[in-house]
Amino acid sequence: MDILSYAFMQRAFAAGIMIAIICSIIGTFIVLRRMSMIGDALSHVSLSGVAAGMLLGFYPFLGALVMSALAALFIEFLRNYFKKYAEISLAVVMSGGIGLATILISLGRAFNVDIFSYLFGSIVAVTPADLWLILAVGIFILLSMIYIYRRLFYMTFDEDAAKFSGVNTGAINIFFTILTALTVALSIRVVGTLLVSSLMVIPAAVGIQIGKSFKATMAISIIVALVSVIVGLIASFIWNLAPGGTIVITSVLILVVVLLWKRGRE
Amino acid sequence: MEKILELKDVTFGYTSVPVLEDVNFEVERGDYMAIIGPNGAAKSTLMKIALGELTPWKGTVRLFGEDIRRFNDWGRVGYLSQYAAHINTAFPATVEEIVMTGMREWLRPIGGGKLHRRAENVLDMVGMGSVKHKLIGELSGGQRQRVFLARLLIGSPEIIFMDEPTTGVDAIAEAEFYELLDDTQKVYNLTIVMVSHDINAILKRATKVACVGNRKVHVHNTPDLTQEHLAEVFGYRIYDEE
Ligand SMILES: Nc1ncnc2c1ncn2[C@@H]1O[C@H](COP(=O)(O)OP(=O)(O)OP(=O)(O)O)[C@@H](O)[C@H]1O
Ligand SMILES: [Mg+2]
Repeated sequence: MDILSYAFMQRAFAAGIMIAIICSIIGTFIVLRRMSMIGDALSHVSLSGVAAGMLLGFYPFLGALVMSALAALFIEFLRNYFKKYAEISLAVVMSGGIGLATILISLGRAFNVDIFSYLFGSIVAVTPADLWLILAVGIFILLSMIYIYRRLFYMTFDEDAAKFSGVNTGAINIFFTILTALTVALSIRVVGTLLVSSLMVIPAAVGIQIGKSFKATMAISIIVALVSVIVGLIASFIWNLAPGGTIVITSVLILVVVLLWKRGRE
Repeated sequence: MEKILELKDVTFGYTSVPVLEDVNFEVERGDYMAIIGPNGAAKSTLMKIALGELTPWKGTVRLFGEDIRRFNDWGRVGYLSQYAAHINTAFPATVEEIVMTGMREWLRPIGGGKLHRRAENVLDMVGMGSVKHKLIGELSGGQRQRVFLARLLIGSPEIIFMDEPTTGVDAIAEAEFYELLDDTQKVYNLTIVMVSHDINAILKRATKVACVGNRKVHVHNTPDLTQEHLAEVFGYRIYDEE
């Protein structure tokens, strides 16, 4: 396949594969914790970080990471006030993120084209610097997830029991939300702000539909995300479409096929 | 006897009105302590104070002799909350995966391959060995409670706190659960603290009964418990004398 002979496609694939893996692992926990909306909330805040970077002249991607992490802390802070209504803190942060992004984007009218790539993703836009940042932070996220995986699994199933087994649930909650924020910010380069949440939620949805154990659910989720990203990137290259769209549509198709197949068996 | 749990002059309320006032409550090693009382009497509250989840306005709580605010030896304690029965049953995890979480060794980031054997043994003990690869959501309410009991036992606690462990379980499964608990108490040498509404089952096996009502807690040795004690907390006669 000569698609890989282009350096920008090599970078897109390398970045895409890393993003697929971290999005699906984090996404499975998010869905099971009933926090599906957190991806949307954080990605909109990331966008405001991107816009701020473009406006003030620093690396936009870094702006996204920082803003997203700050938003994560803010979500955790709000959560203490709306204990039983996690959605409220997400809705507040999401609205705030959109508002801030809108203002910053309209302040700097000139960069509308660049913003487009951050909204819907781009395969040509992944620079070598972007790729290194994605790989470095991606590996940090992966190692961190391995480190908290079992305790997070316990907490996700039964937070009370986990707490009384000596699991430091407060610290792990905050840490996990920050990892989520970093994952979202990393992903917007390839999938775009508007669609990153789907890449977290849809593979997990497939996993939950057919997984016969937690391990299997996680594995299926990762595989679905990888297939979606690889197929989506190829489609994006061939037909010159924004990769965010092709990736997410691929994952939706997989979900629909799985649901039909499941119904057919019953 | 060694005091495992000790509440001294504890007063607590969620709002400005206390739900428990000047409560003294002790559990000794080997006790089978039943906590009874009408809905809203503050039974669950009492348990949460004992576990340090709620901090009393005044008074002290000691668990294994240690002030609860400094206590961190949670491996010696097992807790099954009143709402365990209402946990997300669509959760995609197997019985075995759930039981493994009860082991502190397994909660370390890696390793623990040998621990599967222990999970198997405990699941056999509670009669759930044959369903260990099933999803938790595929079990009946009674089976699920046994799995949760297994998750408690696998951590080899010295004392277990259970808040209405048989909610949503039919009468036969409930009776079996109590019998299973009797067996496990012997095998594991457990101290049990349990909130229950099943007065008859409790009177048959608990060594002590704590009556919670009107902001007070009165502990009786089971043989000394009279209709009058019960009438005082419940406001009416609760069981038929034979
Ligand atoms: N989080 C809370 N905030 C305010 N009040 C509460 C809270 N939890 C419980 N209460 C009140 O405290 C009292 C004791 O509640 P608790 O849950 O301890 O009762 P209980 O004896 O366990 O009842 P049940 O048999 O229904 O489980 C009740 O009057 C209840 O309304
Ligand atoms: Mg209760």
